[in-house]
Amino acid sequence: MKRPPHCQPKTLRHGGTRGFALTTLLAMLALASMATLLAMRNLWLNAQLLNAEADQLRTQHKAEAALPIALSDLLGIGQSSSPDTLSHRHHAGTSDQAHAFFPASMVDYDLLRQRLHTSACSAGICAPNTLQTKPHKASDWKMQIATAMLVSANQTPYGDQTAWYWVEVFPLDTSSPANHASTAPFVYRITTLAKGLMPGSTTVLQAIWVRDTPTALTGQWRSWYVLQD
Amino acid sequence: MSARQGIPPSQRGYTLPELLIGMALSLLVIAAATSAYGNSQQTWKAMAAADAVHANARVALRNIREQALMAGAAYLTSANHMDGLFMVELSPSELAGHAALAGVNGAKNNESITLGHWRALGSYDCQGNSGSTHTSVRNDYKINANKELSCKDLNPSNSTYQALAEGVEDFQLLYAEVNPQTQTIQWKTANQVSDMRQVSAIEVCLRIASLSTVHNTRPSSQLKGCHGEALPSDGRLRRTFKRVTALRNRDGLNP
Repeated sequence: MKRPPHCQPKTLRHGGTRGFALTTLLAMLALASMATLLAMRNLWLNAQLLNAEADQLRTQHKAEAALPIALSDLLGIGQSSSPDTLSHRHHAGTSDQAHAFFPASMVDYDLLRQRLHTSACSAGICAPNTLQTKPHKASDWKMQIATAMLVSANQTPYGDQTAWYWVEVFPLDTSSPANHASTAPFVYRITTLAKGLMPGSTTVLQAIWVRDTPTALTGQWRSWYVLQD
Repeated sequence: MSARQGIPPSQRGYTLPELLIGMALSLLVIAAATSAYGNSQQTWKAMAAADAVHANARVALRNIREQALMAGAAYLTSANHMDGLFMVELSPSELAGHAALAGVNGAKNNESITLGHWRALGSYDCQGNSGSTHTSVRNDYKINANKELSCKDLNPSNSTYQALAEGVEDFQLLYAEVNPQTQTIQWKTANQVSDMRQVSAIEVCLRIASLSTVHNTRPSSQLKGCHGEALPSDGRLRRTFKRVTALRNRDGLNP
């Protein structure tokens, strides 16, 4: 039995009356999908850029927050450190001990230099006997994290193993007019290194601190800058 | 009996009312689709313009901030001690005659700021060049005739201003000068500052406009320019950015 024309399947209809709705719909869908994907890619890229910048800023703040921690350690007023640790870091101890400590006099400084031997730093205390002529690079410090002092997890909200510092002790030429009549025997260059959540967002910050008087717990920051590579 | 009634249904054409209604419906659908497409395109353009404005502001403010944080930092030099001992001394915070902070107050095309630091601390200038042999780097920022925030190191004689950000319509600066006698801080323009060494912070204001017009954007009455002026409504998207940066190397100035 022959079916009436309007009941015949679409494929059997005459070519001139065939619809193109599905093809058009698919093309429109493809275009809309491409536009959506492009928009999503743009949004994702912007989100990544903002994340990277936020992480960079957070890391810089973290490095900055490590400066007062390093200063507390230097002055021996660290609240989180035990009295034994504080004493250990500020006294030479007996002659059979070999730990690094913050010197209070030039005699102490000479002893510290002997204990450090050829290495410049130990446990974040450094006593270099030369000054680098070229500007310091951030990568110089990233390579010597093993000799740094770790900022403990309870002193930073960003977790353990994310911030370190070094305190370089230099004998200060107090006779120099550039030193603003400071009578302190040493000048301290504090370097802090903080790692962000992203691999590239490491910040190295360097600051110079000078005591007001040889025994004062107060002083002045004389330099503050972010090291670049 | 009409002629149409004698034609089989499969061979019949559309009537005029059917055709008119069909065309009217099609036009409505096409109009709605065009309108939706136009709206989404304008929204897209507005988003892209806002994105570009923010990106320009971010680049410019970040560059100025990095140089401001470093301005006036001292560094250590070996001291020639008579006993032959290794000793160091602190450098001054700025080179004589080359102030770490200087500024010119004026209209948007005249306003400028100079931020200086020792090359011993960082050899890169605001353009990222490091070839200079001078002992200091002095980065000068100002708007050029193409509405671009540009900068250059003033020390090399052959340096030229290069654009950092485009679409910058206004660039204004305020300086927080500390008064040691009264232990107060007052925000001033460059010409009002009596001693730049007593400035502990700077406020940078940038008014940035999109390069192309965005027609569905009207300036909000709440958005103002650097001087509190109303923003023009020429179809461009505008934003005003203000950022205060403390000069880290002016420790001890603040009351």
